[in-house]
Amino acid sequence: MDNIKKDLFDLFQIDQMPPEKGEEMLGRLAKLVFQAVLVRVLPMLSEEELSEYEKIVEGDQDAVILFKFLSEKIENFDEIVKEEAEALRIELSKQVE
Amino acid sequence: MTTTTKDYPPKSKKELLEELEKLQKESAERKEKIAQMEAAKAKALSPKEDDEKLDTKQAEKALSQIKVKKSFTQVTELINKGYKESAANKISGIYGIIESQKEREKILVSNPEIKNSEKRLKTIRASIEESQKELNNLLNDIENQDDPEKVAKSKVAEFIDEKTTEALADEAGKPETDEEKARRLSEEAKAVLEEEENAKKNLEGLKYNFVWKNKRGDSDLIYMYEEGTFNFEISGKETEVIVYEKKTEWKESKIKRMFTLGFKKFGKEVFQQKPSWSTYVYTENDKLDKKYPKEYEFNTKEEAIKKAEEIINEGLRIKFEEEKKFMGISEPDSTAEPVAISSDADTKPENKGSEPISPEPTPPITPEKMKSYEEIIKKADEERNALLEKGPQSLRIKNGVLKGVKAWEKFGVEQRNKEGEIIKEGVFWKRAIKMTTNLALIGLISMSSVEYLAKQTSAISATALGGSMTTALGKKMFIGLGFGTLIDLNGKKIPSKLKKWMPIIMGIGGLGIATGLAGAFVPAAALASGASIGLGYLSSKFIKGSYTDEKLAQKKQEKTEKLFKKYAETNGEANEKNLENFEKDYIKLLKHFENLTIRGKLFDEGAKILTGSVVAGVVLGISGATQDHRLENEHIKETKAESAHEEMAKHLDDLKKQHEEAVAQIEKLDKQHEQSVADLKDQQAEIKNSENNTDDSNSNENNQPAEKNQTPVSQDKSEVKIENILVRKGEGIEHSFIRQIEGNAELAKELGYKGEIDDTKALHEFAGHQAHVVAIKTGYVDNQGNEVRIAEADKVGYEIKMEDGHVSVIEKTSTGEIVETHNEGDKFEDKIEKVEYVKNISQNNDTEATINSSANNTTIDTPKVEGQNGEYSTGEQINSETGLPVENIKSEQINPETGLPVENIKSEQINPETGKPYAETGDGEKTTSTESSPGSVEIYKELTSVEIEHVDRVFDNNIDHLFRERPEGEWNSIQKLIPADRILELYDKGQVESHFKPLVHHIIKLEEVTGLHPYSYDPIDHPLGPEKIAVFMTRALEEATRIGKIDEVTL
Repeated sequence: MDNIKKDLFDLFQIDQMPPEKGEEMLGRLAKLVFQAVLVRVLPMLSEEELSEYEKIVEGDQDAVILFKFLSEKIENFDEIVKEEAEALRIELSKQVE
Repeated sequence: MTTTTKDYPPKSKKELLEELEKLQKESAERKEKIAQMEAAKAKALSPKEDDEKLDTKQAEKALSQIKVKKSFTQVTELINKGYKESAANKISGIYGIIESQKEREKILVSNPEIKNSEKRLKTIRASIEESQKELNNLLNDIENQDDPEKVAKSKVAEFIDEKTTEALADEAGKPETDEEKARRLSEEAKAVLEEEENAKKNLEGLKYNFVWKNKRGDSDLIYMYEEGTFNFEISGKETEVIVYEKKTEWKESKIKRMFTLGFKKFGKEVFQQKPSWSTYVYTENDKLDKKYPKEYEFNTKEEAIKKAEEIINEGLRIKFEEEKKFMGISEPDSTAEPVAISSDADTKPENKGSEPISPEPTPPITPEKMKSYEEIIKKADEERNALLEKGPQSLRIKNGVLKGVKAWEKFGVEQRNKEGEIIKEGVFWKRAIKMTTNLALIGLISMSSVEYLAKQTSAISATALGGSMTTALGKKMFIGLGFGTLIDLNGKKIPSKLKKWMPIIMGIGGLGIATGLAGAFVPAAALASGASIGLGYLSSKFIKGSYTDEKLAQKKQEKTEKLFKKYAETNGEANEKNLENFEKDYIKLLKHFENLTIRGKLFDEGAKILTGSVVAGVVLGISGATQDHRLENEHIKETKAESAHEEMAKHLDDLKKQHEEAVAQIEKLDKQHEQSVADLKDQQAEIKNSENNTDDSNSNENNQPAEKNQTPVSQDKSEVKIENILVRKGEGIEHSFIRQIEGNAELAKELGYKGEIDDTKALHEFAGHQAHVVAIKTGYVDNQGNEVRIAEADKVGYEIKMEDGHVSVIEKTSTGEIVETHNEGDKFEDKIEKVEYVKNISQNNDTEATINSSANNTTIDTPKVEGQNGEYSTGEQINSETGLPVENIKSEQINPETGLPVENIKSEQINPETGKPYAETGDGEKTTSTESSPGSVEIYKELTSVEIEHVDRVFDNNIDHLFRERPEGEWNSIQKLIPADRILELYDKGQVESHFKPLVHHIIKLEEVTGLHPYSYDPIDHPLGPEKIAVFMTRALEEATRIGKIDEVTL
């Protein structure tokens, strides 16, 4: 029951980990979400926008620009992120239990 | 004998004897009592025999020689030195003195015939009274305290305190010396830097992680003390448990002063009270506050911490109870007992909504559990990758996903090569943003806030890692600032658990420790303020002495906050350019205040010098001191403080010398100016006389307009100096007019000048305007842009004459022959003289004449141009030195709003931002640059707008090259205040500071390459002063461009 209420942060007890480990674990979880988000949003981009996206990720640009770009191009980007995070949480909470 | 003194009531002998008897009785009683006490005390104290350096007889003998007033001091000294019995005997001695005085009194009373007996009796009685009082006090103390030694010591302490207070009061009135300040700053810096170590030390073995630091007390007597704080909250109510060291530690300087009071023991231990420890809680929670309402004192730190832990435990218990009630949870999570968070004791905690946690939480997760978590994630990763591979997405999308993830992984973290060497360092703010974004990705915070956070953090963190702040302390402060802002901006969105966790995970768990001056959880504004103060502190390390004052610090803080705000609001995007700009602005701000501080110091020193000299001094001399101070103070040492002080004194002397020289120069120039004015007045008088003569002999000329283009009809009989009316090289007719109007007050007034003749600026503006008006009225300029110009310099002059309010112009040759006269109302000249030509400045280059010229200008091909008034000859003035065509001055345009000639005004304006004269630009056409010192125009160089722009760029580049390492404002100050010829003169005398030598070298190079030299003051040609550095540099760069040597003078 507790796990249902817990978010990914609590689920994996990130704040109870040593700092380096906690940061690493957070990054790995976030990467899973980000990958799922990209799978969903990249097909939504136009040809032109996709080319722009490729320039951003291939170049040495700030990742902030990447998120800014996606937020601008995908109307409900924030919602998609939340949905993917929730999907991962549900998926992993079963395993953690 | 009569006893009729006014101030002493007469008493009969009987009365006196009775009184004396009474006193004797009282004294006898007290003496007996003292003897009893002494006996008891001697028994109790049992002093060692060798301590007794004085026997009773010796003491009595000595005491008998001591005046009563000094006895008390003697007693206390003796007691303090351990001569206890002797001291006691001394008390008896005081009594003895009283007795002896009374004997004397008795004698006097009995023998009134003794000379001055009344007066002596009065003195004796006063003495008895005073001694008696003192003795009574001492005896009372002995009675009350029952420990004469303790009383005496207490008196000694009182005495020392009193003296110390006086000494402190004396000292408080004195300004802190450089040496003292250097020492203080050094100690403060050490203290701040040691905080971390202290904190680390104290973390060990404690249940809660207190933040320990050495604090400076609010009294000079309390030097430094240790304090530990622990913050947490109970249902949103701030709670702070404080453990601190209670002690009094004396400054060395105070101890030295005490030595002068005769206190012979050494070391702090004498003055330092045995420290005790106190614990108290500051909380907004009523329950906890009521339970622990007071300050608890302990002998040891451990005891105090134990009490603090008890308070914290109770606070946490209350917290859990309240939360349980609020959440409706039946049992609190016993494993979630909070441990410490860090906080700066100087700042109010703002850890609202958060729980206290440990910077290094003890992981309750077992290795097995951790491994299982990792495996779960790894498995999920593999599954998702497989899905991606097998999914319906195109290859391009797949690659896009992989590349996006890879780019994200790289962001903000250090990158290493295969050998494990760091090839790209992680950047704090990027890492902070990445972590925040990760939190957004797992759904804890809003993704939309990430971008906003990025804007704020990047701007604020830029300086921390941008290289300008190289000290660890500086970086830490900025990290604190950046991170604190990040937290605060999202304060309502980030769950409290993240507030606690993020600082830890970012490696600045002890943010309060790390920043020293900025707390982890204070709001952004407070953090900005804290950082500003911190920077002020850092800066104060760079500048010693009493330069800084509160107002400056406050202003600096305001400016700093404004800057942060500006970047947060308007330049928030986290790109390198913004960071760069921010850093530049910030350095500027710091340097600006360094300069202000230094100037403040100058005034503090009481340098009574003129403002101009001060600024010039700052520019030429003190700014060097700024640099020196900065360098020196990075390694604060006492000896350097002394040398810096001497250096400053030397600079002040130099400034005074420079000022004296400047005053002498001004006096010299004043004299020259006076002489010039006198000469001009003479000339005006002569002109007037000659005009009168001419008027008389040529009355017809005034009534009838003269025929134009007539051949010379007469020799000019006036004595007006021809050189004043001649059109010189690079000039137009109007310049001749201007010179005449400016040099002839009567003429100016006749033309309508209402201002003061001494107001050279107003007169110059008026002359420029009227010159143009006269030129139009007399037909040298028309409204279609045509004007008569002069092909040869110094060949023809144009003399303005006034008659009955009407203006006319007499053209004369250089030999004084009158060529023709233009009267008011004459049409634009359609027939011109040989040395004249017409130019229409409203036309473009296509209308420019092609000139075939010889080097000496004697042959000018004047092609025909169709003009408003028929066929005009056009031509160009030829530079006699180069043989190249020279652009003539543009017709002065009248500003419709001001009525002033645009040209004149513009030529004198200096762009305050660039420090150089405003450049004229055109749209590709030939552009005339007319940089000159006011009052004359020396050069006209034909440059295209592109060339002008290039000159501008070179100018800016050169200034940047020469001054980019210098404090802001230095260039502006020097280019405004120091003429070019003056700085060369100073250089020749070896009086230019080394950091200005590159500028001087550049000026010399410009001279060498172009052959030009800065104008000096000249009452006729340059009446408004010598040429400024910027003006000369621009003029020389234009010349260099024209002769194709611009690259040689590009730095």
